[in-house]
Amino acid sequence: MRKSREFLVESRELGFVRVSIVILFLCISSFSFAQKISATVDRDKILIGEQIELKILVTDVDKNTADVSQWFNLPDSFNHFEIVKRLPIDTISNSGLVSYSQKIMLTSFDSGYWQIPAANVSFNDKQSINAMPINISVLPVDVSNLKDYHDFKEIIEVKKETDWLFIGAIAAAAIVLAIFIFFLIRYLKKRKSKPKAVLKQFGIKEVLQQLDALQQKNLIQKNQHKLFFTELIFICRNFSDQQLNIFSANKTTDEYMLLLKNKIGNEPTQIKYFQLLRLADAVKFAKFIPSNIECDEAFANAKTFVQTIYNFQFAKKV
Amino acid sequence: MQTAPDIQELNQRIQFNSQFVDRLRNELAKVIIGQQYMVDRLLIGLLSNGHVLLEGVPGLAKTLTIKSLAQAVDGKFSRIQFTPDLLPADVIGTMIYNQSKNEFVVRRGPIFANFILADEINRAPAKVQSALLEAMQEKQVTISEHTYKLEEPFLVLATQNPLEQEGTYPLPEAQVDRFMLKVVVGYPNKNEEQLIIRQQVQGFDIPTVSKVITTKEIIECRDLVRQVYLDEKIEQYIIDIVFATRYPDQYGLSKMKNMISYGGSPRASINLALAAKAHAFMNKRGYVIPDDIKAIAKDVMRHRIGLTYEAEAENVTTENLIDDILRTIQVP
Repeated sequence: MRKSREFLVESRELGFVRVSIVILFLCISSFSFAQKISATVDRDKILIGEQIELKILVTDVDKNTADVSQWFNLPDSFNHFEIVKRLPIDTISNSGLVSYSQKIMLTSFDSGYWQIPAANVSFNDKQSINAMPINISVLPVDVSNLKDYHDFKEIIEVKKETDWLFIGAIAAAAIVLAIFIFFLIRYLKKRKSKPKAVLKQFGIKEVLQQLDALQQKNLIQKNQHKLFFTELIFICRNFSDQQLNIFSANKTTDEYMLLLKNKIGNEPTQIKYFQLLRLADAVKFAKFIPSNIECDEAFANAKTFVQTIYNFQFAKKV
Repeated sequence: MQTAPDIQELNQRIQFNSQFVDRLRNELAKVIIGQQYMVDRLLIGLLSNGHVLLEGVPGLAKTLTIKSLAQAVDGKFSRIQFTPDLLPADVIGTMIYNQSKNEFVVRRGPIFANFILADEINRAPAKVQSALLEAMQEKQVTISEHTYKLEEPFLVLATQNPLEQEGTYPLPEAQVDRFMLKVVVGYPNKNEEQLIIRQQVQGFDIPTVSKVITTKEIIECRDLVRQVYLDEKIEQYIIDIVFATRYPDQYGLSKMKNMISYGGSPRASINLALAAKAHAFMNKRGYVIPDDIKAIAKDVMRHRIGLTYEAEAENVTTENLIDDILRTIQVP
């Protein structure tokens, strides 16, 4: 009897140990596999064609021990649902653990009570977790009480408002412009009618001063004939250009003489000036060194030329 | 015009030696009506030892002028009609086998003459053009292992037809640059055309051209042409003109900047100076004046300026650009 009672006690103790081992094993396994999954929707009732946001969230993933190997994958069309948009999977890292989440926009075009299947995620250690399936009610749209389209209405004519301020501004600007043009024309007429003798007088004085300055440089005495004739012709050409309103800087001597022909006002002066131009060309391009008398004559001819052309042009204008 | 003693002496020699120019003009005028401009440019090429590229439509007496010039100068004339199947050996010559002597002998090509007319030069492939242009530059030809000097005066007058560009091989810019002058041959005027009709249709005997000068005298004249005085101011004028084609904005020609893809090479400056000297010689002067430069500027420069697409789109020609440059650059 005692033996049987001892045996009973032993077998009870053995059973307790076994249950404890099973509970311990379950606890260890539940601690070693702590990832959580949730699948949520923003609404569980929609009208046909309305959108639902499905959010799948997997948390507490230890990437070092078991990372996600296969993500929950829904086909584009399933169980009366259509996927409208699939956002990328977001990863959030927090104190060594990682959370994954994905948002999927769904819709349905069939009325009824439909189920989104349980979201399932697998891990590297061949474990997998499932979320609960979600039921969605898709309600038909009541078209019986939709309002009719509005009728076409006649175009309503809008009366133009007269912008008196704008018209006034334009009128004022026109008056100011007219006054300005009136005074401008009056000024230009006055300017035209004024003889330019004073200005021209200054021109001849200036050119004669330039010639005197050239003479005072004593270039002939310094055997710088080429420079002397270059400057002499430059002064004369500039003055004739100014007086006759021509541009001779790009003209050769022959072309320049053609421009001057019959515009100097005195035939002998013209001949002498043309001779001076030829002499200057000889000095400039043919190494000719004229005598001092020839140089003096050339200088005198240049002076006569500027004076003659000035007098002729002045007389013409007056 | 008065000149320095040395130039005075040169003037006298030039006046004596250049007398043939008028005689030559008169002699050529017997057979060629009009085309005085072309004749003068050929003479400039002849006197300054530069080759001439003639451009003009067919029938403007280009060939006749060159042939007549060769007769008047008593030089050997040879004409090469450039065709697509022409080979370099057809121009410079080749080695042929002499059966009787049992050896290869040199057969000289048509390039061995004083006056070469390369007719329609753009119709032959590049290798033939190169063979000719190399001979033009070096004045010698190598056949097999032997090098032969070409006889002086050696003047190549090439023609180009501006029309019918299909199937042609336009001369590359580098090769066109070797021609001293590019002359655009124009149509004769009404009176000249009338005389041409009378000469050709009414059965008058076309006069023959007599010898006016020998090749030896031409070579002597060339020496004289080189002695023509070119003043520093004229040199500067030439440089300004050529530089204006390269850097137009520096000369107040900014508008031209987008029109020119490349400007004149130093060869342009050299040829401008040489041609101006020849022009002065022909005008019996021992020194160059700006008029000489202006007179030959277009013929020397027109093939040495590259136009951009923009210029071509606006129908701007190199002549227009040269005119603008000459209008802008200050004459010394």
